[in-house]
Amino acid sequence: MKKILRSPITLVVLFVVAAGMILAGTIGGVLAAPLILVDKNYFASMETSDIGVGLREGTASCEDGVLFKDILKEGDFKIGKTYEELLSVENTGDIRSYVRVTVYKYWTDENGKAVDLDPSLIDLHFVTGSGWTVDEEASTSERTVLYYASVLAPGEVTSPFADTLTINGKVVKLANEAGDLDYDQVTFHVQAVADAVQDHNGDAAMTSAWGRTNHAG
Amino acid sequence: MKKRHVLLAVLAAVMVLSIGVGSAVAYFTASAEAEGAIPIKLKTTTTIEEPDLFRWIKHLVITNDEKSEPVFVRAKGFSGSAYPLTYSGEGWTEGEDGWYEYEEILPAGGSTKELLVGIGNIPEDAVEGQSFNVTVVYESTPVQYDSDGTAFADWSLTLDTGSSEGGR
Repeated sequence: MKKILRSPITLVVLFVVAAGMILAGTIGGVLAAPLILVDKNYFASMETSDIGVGLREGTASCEDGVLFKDILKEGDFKIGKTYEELLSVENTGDIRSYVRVTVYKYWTDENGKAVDLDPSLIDLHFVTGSGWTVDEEASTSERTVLYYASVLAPGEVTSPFADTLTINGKVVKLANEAGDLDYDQVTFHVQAVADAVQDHNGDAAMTSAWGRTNHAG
Repeated sequence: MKKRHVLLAVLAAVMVLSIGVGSAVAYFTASAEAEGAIPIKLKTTTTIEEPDLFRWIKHLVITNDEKSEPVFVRAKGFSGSAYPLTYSGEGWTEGEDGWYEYEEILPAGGSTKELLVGIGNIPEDAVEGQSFNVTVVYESTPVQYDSDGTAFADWSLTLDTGSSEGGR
């Protein structure tokens, strides 16, 4: 045994084996597809896990990434009126996953972000207590982070994390009193980002991806 | 020499094992994004027009600019106690603190019907140099809505004001 270990040939062989294993691990995936196409006698079906997440507005998926479709159908937007805005998250993949949502609210004018206008005047009403909890530490007047407590099965939809949208009428006065700025027109924005992680090893996966779990205080 | 070989062998084994470590700490994640944006106009510009005084009655019309938001308007006259004012006009009703409010929403480019402000106690034997002045002020406020979508005027949010003077 000692002779074998001392032999330079053993050393070379070990490195060749190690390099071979590394290469095999890398090349394997690349070769898999061509093998199926080239040799009809030898094929293997491989089931891959696909994680997916999507946002829903009302009963429709937001596949185009656009919100407020129903509100805009009602004609001119009315400041102060409470519009229904049901937002939820769906599992579009084929594995179970945990989800969270980060919602951003802000104003813009013709020059870009209107920082003088308070984002809290964009009153998107968040629904908590039905599975969703707000991460208060990570939330600001502009950003709200919500975690869904339950694991989401493939095809399953969460309860709504928001249900109504109202623009506070104070924006009219504030927009005209914001220092030297004089807003003729402003635009309010709501952006929602849904994140999903695998439920297998869920706590570790959430901590790795989000820095916390969905049940942290 | 022996130690070196062992170390190299261990190093080779670690390299091989490290292939699997990468996949062990990687997790499946996904994300999706959606955004909505709606512009709202905040500017209101209104003007008051007054034809010549006729039979001691002021005829006032308030117009909302073409590029303005819909507004509510109200007007009020000042003349001093010697010359009491009377108000009339289709669509105008008495509100708080002596203001007369136009009931309908004034859309962009829209005008009120005439507000008639009559000036009383005009001396028939006025003499040269005797004068008085009547001023009518008006305010506009953007139309606001309650949660049900019912329109209302919030006069604490008055943005645009103006006046019209007249007398002799």
